[in-house]
Amino acid sequence: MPLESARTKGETRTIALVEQPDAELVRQTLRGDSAAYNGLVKRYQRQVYSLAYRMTGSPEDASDLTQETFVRAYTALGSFRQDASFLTWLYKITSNLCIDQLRSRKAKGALSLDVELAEGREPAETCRSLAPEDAAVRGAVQEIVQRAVLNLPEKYRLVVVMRHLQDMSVDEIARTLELPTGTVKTHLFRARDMLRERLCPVLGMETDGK
Amino acid sequence: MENRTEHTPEEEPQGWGAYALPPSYSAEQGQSNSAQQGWCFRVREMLPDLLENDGAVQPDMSAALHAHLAVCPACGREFEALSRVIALVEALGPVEMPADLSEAIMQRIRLQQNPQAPEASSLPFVSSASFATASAAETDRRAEARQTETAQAPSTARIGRSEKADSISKAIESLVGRQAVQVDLPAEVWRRLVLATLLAAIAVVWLLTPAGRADLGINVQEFGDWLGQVAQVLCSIPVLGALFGALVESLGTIANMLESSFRPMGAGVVDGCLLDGLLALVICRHVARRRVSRR
Repeated sequence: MPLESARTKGETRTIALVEQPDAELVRQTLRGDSAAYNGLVKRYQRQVYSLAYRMTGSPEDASDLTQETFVRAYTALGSFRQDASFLTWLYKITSNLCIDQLRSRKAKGALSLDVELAEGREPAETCRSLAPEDAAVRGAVQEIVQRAVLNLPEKYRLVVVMRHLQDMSVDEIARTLELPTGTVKTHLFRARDMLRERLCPVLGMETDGK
Repeated sequence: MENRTEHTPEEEPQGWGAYALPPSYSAEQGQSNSAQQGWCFRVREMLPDLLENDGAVQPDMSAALHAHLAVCPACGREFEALSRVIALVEALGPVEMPADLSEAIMQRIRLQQNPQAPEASSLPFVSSASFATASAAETDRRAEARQTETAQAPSTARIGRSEKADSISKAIESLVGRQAVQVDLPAEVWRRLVLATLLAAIAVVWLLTPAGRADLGINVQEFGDWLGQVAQVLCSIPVLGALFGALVESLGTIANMLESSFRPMGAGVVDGCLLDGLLALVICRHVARRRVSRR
């Protein structure tokens, strides 16, 4: 957080620590100040890493994708509209990279739950009852939830992660992914429905055939 | 919702308050089962908006929906399940991030800006390689390579390639465009480049031998035959055979790497590379001819 000003009011010395706006840091970066870009990296690396991790499920991939996102953003910074949200722009780059990565992984033969379902096979996780209190630790439940999210089709996974883990609004997601708001809501609806079916062991309830 | 019109209920409720009517109550009032199902369907269609709680559902509508959920067990279960799904996902919480991530990012940016960063390993043999000698043709080629790069908008053109291919490209660019280079290369590529250079040295030595002098109009086919004969001799000796096999394999690998590295940079640079090879041969031929004429 940069020290913006130090004012003296009578006997009292007030130091104001104010975060510089993204647009200002972008301008400084474009003028050649790499420290300004470092500020942007530190400000948003967590959000970008989190999105990449939740999309890929791999810390290594998430780290690589985060680096790639910021490198790409840096090289294309001149094309960034400074009235737009820098974070939204970063999310857009990250989501594209994640989708590319997942498709490449799929092309290399990784068999996902989606493929199993598409081929009419039962997923390994059967829908037996498992109430949350039966789970040995909270981590076990989180593991099941994380796996269920990772097994969603990419476009559904993306909106679920953005909405419920990155705390983005539907409008923000729509802007980021350049999709109509209605489409984002539909994706969310279908994603939650799939999750409901796949998380029935955790939810401790039977799917009612929906 | 996009498919709302596909499932129009048989009877519309009279205002939002009608959604609060329990199915049993509706049945008592003589309404058909399908009408009740239609109402429940419409209510469930509204659940995503209700869950979003983003203002898309008006307060009176929201109150009516909640009233229905309170009295309709099926819809209530649906709403409860979806709410719990959201709660479970949101409970995943924050992710632990590598401590040195921002440093790694800035390091990559520095490397991209300046391929000759201090971390890069040096390639001392490159600066003294015969094919890197300055010439007018090389100057033209350098300009051409720069133009090709500019036309391809490096900010986007390079990004899709793997880090390995990128570092190889940097090495090749340096070979083509500069006399002294410091490039970042994976150890394996480094080793293969050294082997390929040794192979090139064998070719140069051959040109200076009596056999080479006898055929100064260099013939690729004959050179290949000569290499084949050498290979046969070498392969009869176990250790040397393995070494020669590695050399030949390296040559093929280098050729593949050159092609994959050059292709994204444009045909101009590929031509430049070929020109380098021709230049080396011409120099060798010139040197050999001078030696012959002296004798």
